[in-house]
Amino acid sequence: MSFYLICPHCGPREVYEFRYGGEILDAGVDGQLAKSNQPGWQRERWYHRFGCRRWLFVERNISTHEVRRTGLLEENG
Amino acid sequence: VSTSLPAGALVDLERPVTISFEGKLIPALAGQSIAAALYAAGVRVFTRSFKYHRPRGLFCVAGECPNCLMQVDGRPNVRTCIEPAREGQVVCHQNAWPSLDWDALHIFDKLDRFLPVGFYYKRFHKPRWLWPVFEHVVRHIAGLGQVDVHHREHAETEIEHLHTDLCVIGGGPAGSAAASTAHRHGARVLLLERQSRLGGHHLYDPSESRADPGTPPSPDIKVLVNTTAFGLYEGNLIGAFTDNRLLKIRAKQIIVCTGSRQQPFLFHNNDLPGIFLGDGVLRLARLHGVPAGRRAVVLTDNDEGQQLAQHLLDLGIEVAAVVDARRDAQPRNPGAPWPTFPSHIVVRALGKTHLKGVCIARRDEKREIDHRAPQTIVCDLLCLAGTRQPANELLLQAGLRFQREAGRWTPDRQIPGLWAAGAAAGTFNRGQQIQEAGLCGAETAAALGHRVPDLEERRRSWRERVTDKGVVAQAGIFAQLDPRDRKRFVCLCEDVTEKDLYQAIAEGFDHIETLKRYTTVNMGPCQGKVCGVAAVAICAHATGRPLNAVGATTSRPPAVPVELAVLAAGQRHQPLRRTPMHHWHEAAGAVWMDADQWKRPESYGDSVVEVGAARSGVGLIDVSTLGKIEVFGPDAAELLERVYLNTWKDLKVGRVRYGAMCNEDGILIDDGVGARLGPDTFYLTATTGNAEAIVQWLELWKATWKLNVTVLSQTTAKAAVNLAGPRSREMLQGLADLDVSATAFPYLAVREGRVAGISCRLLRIGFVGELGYEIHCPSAHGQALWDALLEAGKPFGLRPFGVEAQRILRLEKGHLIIGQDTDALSNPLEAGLEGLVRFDKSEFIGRAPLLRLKAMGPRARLIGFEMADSARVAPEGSQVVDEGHPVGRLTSTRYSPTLARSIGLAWVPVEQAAIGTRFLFRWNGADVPAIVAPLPFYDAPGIRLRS
Repeated sequence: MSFYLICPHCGPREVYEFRYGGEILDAGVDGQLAKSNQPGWQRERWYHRFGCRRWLFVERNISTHEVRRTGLLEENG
Repeated sequence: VSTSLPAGALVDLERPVTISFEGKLIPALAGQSIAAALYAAGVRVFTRSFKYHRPRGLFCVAGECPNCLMQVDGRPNVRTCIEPAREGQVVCHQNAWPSLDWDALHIFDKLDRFLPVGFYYKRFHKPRWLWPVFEHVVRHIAGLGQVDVHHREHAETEIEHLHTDLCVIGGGPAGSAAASTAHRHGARVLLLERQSRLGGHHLYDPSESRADPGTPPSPDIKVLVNTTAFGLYEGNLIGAFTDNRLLKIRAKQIIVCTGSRQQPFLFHNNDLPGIFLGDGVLRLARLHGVPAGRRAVVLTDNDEGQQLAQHLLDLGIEVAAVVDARRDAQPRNPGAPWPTFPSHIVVRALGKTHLKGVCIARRDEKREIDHRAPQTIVCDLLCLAGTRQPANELLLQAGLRFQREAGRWTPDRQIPGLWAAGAAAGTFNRGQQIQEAGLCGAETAAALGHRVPDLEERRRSWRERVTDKGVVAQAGIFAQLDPRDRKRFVCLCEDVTEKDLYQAIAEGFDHIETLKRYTTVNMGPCQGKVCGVAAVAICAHATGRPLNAVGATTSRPPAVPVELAVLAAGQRHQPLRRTPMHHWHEAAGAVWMDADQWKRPESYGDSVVEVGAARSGVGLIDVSTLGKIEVFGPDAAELLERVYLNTWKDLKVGRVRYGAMCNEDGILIDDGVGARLGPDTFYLTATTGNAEAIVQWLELWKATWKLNVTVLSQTTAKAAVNLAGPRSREMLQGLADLDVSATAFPYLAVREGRVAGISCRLLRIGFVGELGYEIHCPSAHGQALWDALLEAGKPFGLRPFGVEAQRILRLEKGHLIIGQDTDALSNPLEAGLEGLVRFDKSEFIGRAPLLRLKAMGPRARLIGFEMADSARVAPEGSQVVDEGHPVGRLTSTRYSPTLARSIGLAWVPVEQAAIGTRFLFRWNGADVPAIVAPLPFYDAPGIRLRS
């Protein structure tokens, strides 16, 4: 893992500045959070630990580490 | 004869140095490699092989093969053929006993029929007790150097981050040309060269004529010599190192110009000292100024053989013969003084510890060897000039694959931002290499946004010339199945022979990746640089598949050996955190312990006395490391309500409550207390190790639920102490300006006020089970508060206590510590916190999984226990056993000085959790009894706490 994430505050930064916060999951009917665990695009949370200390949402292709969208978590969807 | 020998391009003749080898002093020159100096002093056997302890000598002289690994100044596995000699170096052999020249373990070379490939998967497994014994023996006799665990590096490793437009890896002619072109068009260029001078093969290959190959292309190009790139990672990150410095280089564009390496051949005893790669002989002579031998045979399958013979002659080395495997080879180079043997190969090398001669034989039209009339040629040097292969491991790491098309290696695709030029890209024609490098330089400059007027012209002219990229031949390793011959070595690192590979394929490991894992070919220090092509060719030969179908094993960083200390550079920057009262603790003789990044006093000498003071008089502990978090805003109560298991909206202003929280899986992650300072303002504490994580956790859910609330970490802004003990109120009365009477300041209340003139926040809580006050104040006043409390406490016998005393006190009170008594599988329903979980709340984190767990019922419980033998304290982590099977564990164990009993907390199956149940745990191989006891052990009604 040595890709960049574009922080809405701080600009493009090494991924090591961030803490991974897991996949953004939608609760199923029974309230279970099912992790999709599929290759391809995934919506995730990242925390800019060594930067602005804000939570971000990120759309990342977990096969290629291509990142197509980042933003503040509270502004997500 | 040696008059024609050059001084050595890397050597400084003016600076002699002396190194010590096996107790002898060896003269060397600055810049010369250790191995070159030893070779000049007559050393021929440099190491003993991994498995069979066969003698091995210099081979590649490029730091690629394992044949020169030695122990240098305590460091194992130093590649002495490239490690420069330095004054006073202490060099010794490894993997041989008693000496390199006479190694008793050489017996394994004779026992090879009992040690076939993968023997450790097959032998010594029955009876079962044999395996550990055998493994212990094997680990001693096989392998590489010894790590000296007592050795401490004098030099600290460090990390450097570099950013550049273009990074060119490899400072040979192609790399320099690429760097110059890109720089001319305006790019900011960084050029990496692993040797101490630029020039690459120009430095040792006399067929190249250039006035001074070592001149940097332009002073504006940043050149890093002695710098080895070991990894290409995504995002164009290059991992490299120079001496004890790790470099992380980010480049917008990368051009890889790492050149090529000659391939060795397979024949009987092809690992004998005296057998070199052709380039190795040239490097030893022209880089280090040391001749490799007197009389040489050249073995080749391409045009380079005749050139090499001429170079050897120029170095004053007699050429006995050129053995050329090609049928169409010219019988005799016109005018050359050496005989040429076309359609011949070397079938065996003669000699025991050094080459004495070679046997050559003819190959017929079907490439079958004619064994009837072998000829013997006396020589002390055999130069292998096999077909060059791209040194492309960095490109492979980056994801490129090379295909063989019309006998030529070609990259399968283009990766944006990554280029390759010269031999590394499969281009072997010297003129074309420079042209390709120039094109890559121009392409990268254009990709960086610079104007490159001649780009189209360059592309066109390259397309026209690219049809023939130069020297190519069959992979001429001479693969063949000869079941009698067990001494044809494919892999020098791990002693894997051709026969081993055939046998492994016969056993079913016929995919190149399984073949690698089973035989360990490609897995040694060379990482396939010597053996990679041969393994693929043998696999293709044995399975009847084309080379492209066999493919190659995955290439991963590091491409060259890197010291772990270098890789760990930058990991040492673990900040040390000290509380405001740290220096007082130090002066008071604190025994330190680490708590996350913090230093905390474990005790001030005697924990038992400290416990006694807190129980009978008054004690004081520094709890500044606690996480302290202010949560305020209109949605503050809502956030806590949803994050914690218990309720917060009903907490009255001025009151304190204990709370715990779970993650989304219903696993306990933290606990602490929270005080309501105002309708919309809360003050929380978190455990020391979780302080940062809990702030992030609150921020996460604040953002997710879009709540109007602010989370503010006060952890380092505030110091905190816990004043605890039956006399603490009495003591505080004289010091605080607020009414601390039981009615005005009851248990679980929060008050603001001045203590010794310092404005403080006081929380009446009792982690240790006594009347107590947690007092928080600004960090800057922490020491003043501490001093004032100590002074005021003198008449009351106040004693400071450390973490160990606190742990005993809390255990007596039965309070759990998250992370100590719980783990990543512990839920609150089983941990004794079920009363805290408010399922009547419509939403809180972990509600759904906890509801399911509740329906399933508990399987285990965290219980208190007393040892049947109250004098002994069992180790924490001991397994609770039931009929010999592990069913739980002890999490906290202490001797309680207050109760004079050995007590603890443990996870046991729910069937054994009833009070009074006797259960067993394993201790030193015996099953020891303990009895489930009611919690808390001390002051069950909580009278002292609430007094």
